[in-house]
Amino acid sequence: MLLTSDTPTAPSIWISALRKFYGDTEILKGIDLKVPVGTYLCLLGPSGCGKTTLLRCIAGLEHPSRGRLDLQGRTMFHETMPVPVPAEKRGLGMVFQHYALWPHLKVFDNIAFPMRQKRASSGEIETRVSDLADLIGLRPLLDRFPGQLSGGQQQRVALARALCIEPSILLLDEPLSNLDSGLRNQLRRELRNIHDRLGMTSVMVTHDQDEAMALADMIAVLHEGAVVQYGSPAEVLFEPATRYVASFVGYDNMLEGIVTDLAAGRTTLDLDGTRVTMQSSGRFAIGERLAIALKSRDVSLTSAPRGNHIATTVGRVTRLGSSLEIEIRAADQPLLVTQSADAAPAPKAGEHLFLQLPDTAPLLR
Amino acid sequence: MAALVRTIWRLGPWGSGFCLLLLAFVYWPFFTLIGGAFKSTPFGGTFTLSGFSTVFGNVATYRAFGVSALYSSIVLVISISIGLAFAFVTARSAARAARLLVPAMVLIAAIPRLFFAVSWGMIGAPRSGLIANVFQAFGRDLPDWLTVYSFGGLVWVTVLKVSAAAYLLLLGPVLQIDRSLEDAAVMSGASRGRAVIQVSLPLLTPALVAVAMLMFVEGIQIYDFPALLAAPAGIETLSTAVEAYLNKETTPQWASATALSLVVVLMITLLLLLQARLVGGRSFTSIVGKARQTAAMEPSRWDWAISLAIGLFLVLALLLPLAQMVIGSLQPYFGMYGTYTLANYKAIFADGRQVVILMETLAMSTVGGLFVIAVAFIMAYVETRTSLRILRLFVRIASWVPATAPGIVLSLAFVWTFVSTPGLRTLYGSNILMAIALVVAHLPLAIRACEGIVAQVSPELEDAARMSAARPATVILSITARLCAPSLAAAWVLVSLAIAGALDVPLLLQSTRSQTVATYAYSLFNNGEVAQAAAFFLSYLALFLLMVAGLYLATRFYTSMRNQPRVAVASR
Repeated sequence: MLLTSDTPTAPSIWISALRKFYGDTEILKGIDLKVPVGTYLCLLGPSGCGKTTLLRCIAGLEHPSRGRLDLQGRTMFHETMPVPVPAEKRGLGMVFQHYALWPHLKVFDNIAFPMRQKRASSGEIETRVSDLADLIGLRPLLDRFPGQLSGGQQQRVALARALCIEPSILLLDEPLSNLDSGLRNQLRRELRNIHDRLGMTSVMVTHDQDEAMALADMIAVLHEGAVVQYGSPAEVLFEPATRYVASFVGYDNMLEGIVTDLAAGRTTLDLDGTRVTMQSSGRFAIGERLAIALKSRDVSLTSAPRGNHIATTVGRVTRLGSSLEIEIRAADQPLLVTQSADAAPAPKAGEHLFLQLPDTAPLLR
Repeated sequence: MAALVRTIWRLGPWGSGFCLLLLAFVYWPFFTLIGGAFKSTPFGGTFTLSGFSTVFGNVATYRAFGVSALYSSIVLVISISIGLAFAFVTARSAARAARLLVPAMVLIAAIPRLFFAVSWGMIGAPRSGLIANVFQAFGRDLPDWLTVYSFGGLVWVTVLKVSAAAYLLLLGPVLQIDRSLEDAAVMSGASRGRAVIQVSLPLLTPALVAVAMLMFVEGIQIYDFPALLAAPAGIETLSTAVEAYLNKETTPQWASATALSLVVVLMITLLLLLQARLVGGRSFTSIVGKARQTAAMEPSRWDWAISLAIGLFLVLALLLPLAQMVIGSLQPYFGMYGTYTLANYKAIFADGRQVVILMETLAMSTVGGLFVIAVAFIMAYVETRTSLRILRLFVRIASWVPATAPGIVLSLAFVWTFVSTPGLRTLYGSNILMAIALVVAHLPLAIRACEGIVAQVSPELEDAARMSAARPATVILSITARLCAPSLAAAWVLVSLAIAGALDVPLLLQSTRSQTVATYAYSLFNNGEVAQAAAFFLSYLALFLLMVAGLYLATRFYTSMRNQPRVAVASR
């Protein structure tokens, strides 16, 4: 059951210069995205960054103010169109954050609803719903009302309903955020499996970077209504484009320095007197101020200098369960280091140690 | 102009048609009322200002203003006090009788005012009434100041009826008050009573002000109580004054009646705008903190007194009027205690005309009620969901316009509209015209109810239907309306009862061809055939309840059939 678009070369979703205003407030500030057919795209960002608005614009539940939106080679919105294509005529599937199951309809009728809108015969509907019930593991629940289901079951029903008309694009609005963590991991794997088996394009909104990393082929990081990075999970994780993206994907330390030397693939920085050389493909200028993005759990403290290092003074040490959170000062900047509590003897406040820097750490303007 | 065309384009044929309907039957009558105030008669009259000069030159006008204002103020103060006290009893008291309050108050609020007026008119009648009979048993006559046909009697009966509405309006805000705020005051050394007065009452101020304003407006609009109880004593309020210009003069004074109506409409508009300003767009319930889980109520040593007060109120406002109606309808002649007969009922069903009125009213109120709910639901839906600002404003104003007119004024506006619009003139004096006016008159209340009902359906459920390729009409019908159905059905029952009991709206629109239960019972009552009036009213209520019960059972049967398990799928 492979779903492909009519023109395989055209992107499944093509968004250009999309802008959305609420009154005077600009919610989306010129979004450009091309999503190839079959991609699992995650729109990642904190609440209020515009990711849900973008998803609802794709869905047709809201309409952009400017720009253009094409789905499967069909123009859905263009600023010159008198009336945008309404949501019900876009042929998409959507899973909502709070499931949005209709409480007055049984599970079977909830799933069958989209097919009934297309006037499918009852035989077709029976076959399709029971296929989906097997795919998603809902078989014993078809005769229940949504109120009689657990959260995980409800989300499965919502997924089955969204898949019912075999949409070429599936939209998911934080589908896992209301589930507890065990269930979330299980359903996350199922989501990816179903995506791979059905071969559609999926767009998922999430604020959870781990979820995005685990699921997505491509991630678009949104910040204040703009896409600040669009790339594969590895690119976003290891080569964050901005300080904002870096801090969002877990780089909780920024060590500031000034570029003193540039060589092929290498950048040397001066950190308040200490020189470190980092691997970097970025194009920087001598004298430019940069930050080395560091994750507190990827750096370590040693008593002897090794590789890229900088002298530090230990401040407060806090025990957090099985790990230690160590506040230090390096190059006259406050930093955080997290290390296992039982690995080495814990550093003491006032001790002078060396901070080891991984030389692949991202450099950011 | 281009903007108008674009709006109509976006509305589509159905949306534009609906707006046109509102324009014709909600907006247009008010425009014709304004125009009518400057004309001598609706039947091709000439331009005149005599209406205004008569109204403003007449001392009776100022007296009617004074009476209406005084009446509304006294009623609102007493009934809000009673309603508030009982609301606190429901929220805070462990007294057994407190559980009776909600259902009893809903019942009192649902019973038509005319029923109350007729019933209390019987209880408090000077010689043959129940109270007079008690006095006679002690060998005395009913003192004049105790008759119900007086200003005091008017206030007394209105308070009994309106307190239920005040209670229901205030119960929500009172239940929302966080009891821990009072507990905190008690822990700081205040008594329970002081805590309520110093902490909870100030928190309730916005709700109290809003309810008081609405009740003041309602007091100015009320027609049935003054018409039945005050007019015989020669006391006129604003709504009976409008009617008097048309029916009590040798020739109907159209210009004066319309001019006075316009003044009343303007006054109420100002009051409603002021009310909206005071409430400031906030809903009543947003003013207070999160409600605590309802803890078990502590019994208090005053519980017996609370139960006694509840009992007394329910006897006066519910049991006594009901009993009087039943007993009165069984008397061969009103006031003849001791002999009981079904003759009054037999007479109704033997008279073809009365049976027709019963059936026509049943049809008009139930079908009309259905229209009211359907239109109100659509309007409330559009108001909460549309992104078209101009459409929202159009609907919002339409939802308030009929609220500015007392029923008598509304019917006057409809007379002007139908008589002066060529095509519609043929409808004048027909049931259709009456039904349209009744529908419009009951829209505002129904819309307020529907706003609350629609707000309970999460927009996400509708989005999900749209993403499932459902057209907008399907979304509304099979999702939103279906989920609201139980509440809408309850609203329909209440609105249908209100339509059947409305006396003021049909008063100017009735003809020999079209009468309702309310106008017919009223004329029976006025002609002294009080026992027949009671029997007629009760027959209608019985018919109506029979029909509702039948519909309820049919729906239950239908849903139980539909909820049979889908054996074919489940067993595979």
